[in-house]
Amino acid sequence: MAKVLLVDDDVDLSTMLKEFLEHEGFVVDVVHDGESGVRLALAGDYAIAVLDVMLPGINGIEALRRIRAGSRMPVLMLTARGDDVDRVVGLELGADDYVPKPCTPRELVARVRAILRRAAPEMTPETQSAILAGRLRVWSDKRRAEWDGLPMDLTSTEFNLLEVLARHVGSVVSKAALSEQGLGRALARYDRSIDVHVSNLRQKLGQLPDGRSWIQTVRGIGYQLIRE
Amino acid sequence: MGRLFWKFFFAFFAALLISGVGVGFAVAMLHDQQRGPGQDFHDRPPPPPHWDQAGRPPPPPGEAPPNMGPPPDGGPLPLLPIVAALLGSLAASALLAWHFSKPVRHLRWALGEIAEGRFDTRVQQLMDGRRDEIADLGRDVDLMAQKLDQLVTTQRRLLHDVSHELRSPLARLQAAVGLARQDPAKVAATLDRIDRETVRLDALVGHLLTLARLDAGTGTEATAQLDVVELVADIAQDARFEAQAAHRELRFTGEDSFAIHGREELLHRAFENVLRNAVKFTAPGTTVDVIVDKPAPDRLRVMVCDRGPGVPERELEAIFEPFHRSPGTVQDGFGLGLAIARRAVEAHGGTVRAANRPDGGLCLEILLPER
Repeated sequence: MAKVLLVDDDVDLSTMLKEFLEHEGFVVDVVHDGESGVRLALAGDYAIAVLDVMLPGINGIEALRRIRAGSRMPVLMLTARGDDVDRVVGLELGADDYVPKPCTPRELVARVRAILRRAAPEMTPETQSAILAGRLRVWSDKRRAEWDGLPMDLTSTEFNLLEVLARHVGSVVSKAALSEQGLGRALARYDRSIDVHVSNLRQKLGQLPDGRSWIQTVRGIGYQLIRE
Repeated sequence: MGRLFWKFFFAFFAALLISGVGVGFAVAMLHDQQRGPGQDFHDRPPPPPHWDQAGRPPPPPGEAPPNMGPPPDGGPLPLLPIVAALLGSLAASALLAWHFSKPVRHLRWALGEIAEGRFDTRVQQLMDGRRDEIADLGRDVDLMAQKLDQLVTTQRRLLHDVSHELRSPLARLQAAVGLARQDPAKVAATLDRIDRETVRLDALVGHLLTLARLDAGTGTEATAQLDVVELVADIAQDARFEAQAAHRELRFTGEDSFAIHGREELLHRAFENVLRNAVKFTAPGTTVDVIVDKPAPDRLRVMVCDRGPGVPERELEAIFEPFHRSPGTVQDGFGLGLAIARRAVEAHGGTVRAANRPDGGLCLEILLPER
């Protein structure tokens, strides 16, 4: 039974979403301000936090920053539809995904499930051995990645994307495939989430000696992790 | 060089030329008359000896000076002064024309920038410290740009707020529909919820329209003669019932009457918003005071004071902005009541001010002039 932390200042809305999520089999706690949201997210054993951007007191972006300072737990942002700045800033700060508001509760549940499915360690024994891709070693079952023998600090979405890229090291992976396998959802139009996540990954991977990035953009197609 | 420059230039130049020629002609005429007939330049005493250009002493008298040039009698006109005057007037004309046309070009540039939507354009620093009507014009242009900037920023923020406010009920509607789909047993409760949200949306749109009309200044013309004291007393009566239902009290003081020519529904809404706001924020068990008096025979003052949390000093003006909500408070309502109240009172030539009470709570002071 996955525990969900819902942080939204709209009391009516969050009551209804709580009801909906509970009916879908989640355990839900609701708080209405950023401070309590951060406190609970860092203290409790929640599988995922759903965070509204517009919050009284500290806003959702700041709350996300504080959560990320202490935890890599999956975070789903609720952003106002059409507000690209919040969305990109949220993803840059390490949010796993976002849902534009207003959204149907079904859409919200689907996103939460997608993130949780990806974040949970896989039980299948077929991926016991690590994926080797140049200096990168990825253990899918343990959800661990090492670069040059050093463990990498990744959010679960970043891990998913890196894993997909590592499986196809040396060849191009389309954005659509990255979205489906990494975020667990189809790529939407005008959706820049993948680009922002990849840009975060690039920063964590560093650069080749000649200044190029380990993850190359193939314009119009997708991204490629290069071997060496 | 713009066309304006050349116009000024030729006008000044022509004026200088004509006046110069005229003056020269008049001087020549006078000169002729003084000398009388038969006289000419040869009769004048020879010029005093002078040092020539090379610094040699003047030759002794009797000797012809070398390189003296032809005597001035031969030339029909004194060429050097004329050329000098011509050049001088050309330069003066060009300078003057430049002086007038340059700021105009700057103004034109600034207005073009503003027309393109760059409201941070300022032209006054290009005026080189001028102090005349053109510089004043530049200052007015800057002022206009600044006002436009404010206006556009406010409108943009309002639009942003409006879209957010409209989306919140929509999000709740979607959630309610989702719940009903998920569990058919919840349909009845969900329909009630949908009803509530629809009413709320309707109210929001109504408030927004009122605000837009007040901002546009339409629908604010006075339609009736009304007694404001009576109006406030009526609203206070209604608000008292609401307050008592929520374990609060409302006290109205003020007897007199004050008739103005105004728009009743606007003033009604203004006072209702202010009174309801006070009832909403005053602490349980406390009293809202509504005091009506006349500080001057032609002025009415309505004070509405609550015993609530008050407002931080720096937000005393901001509470009249649309969608303003005090941070940290979860409230119902849209944050439009006081914005509408202020605009409605201002449409009647009055003012609304907010101040914190020294012993806790907020006071709103509404002043209305006789009209």
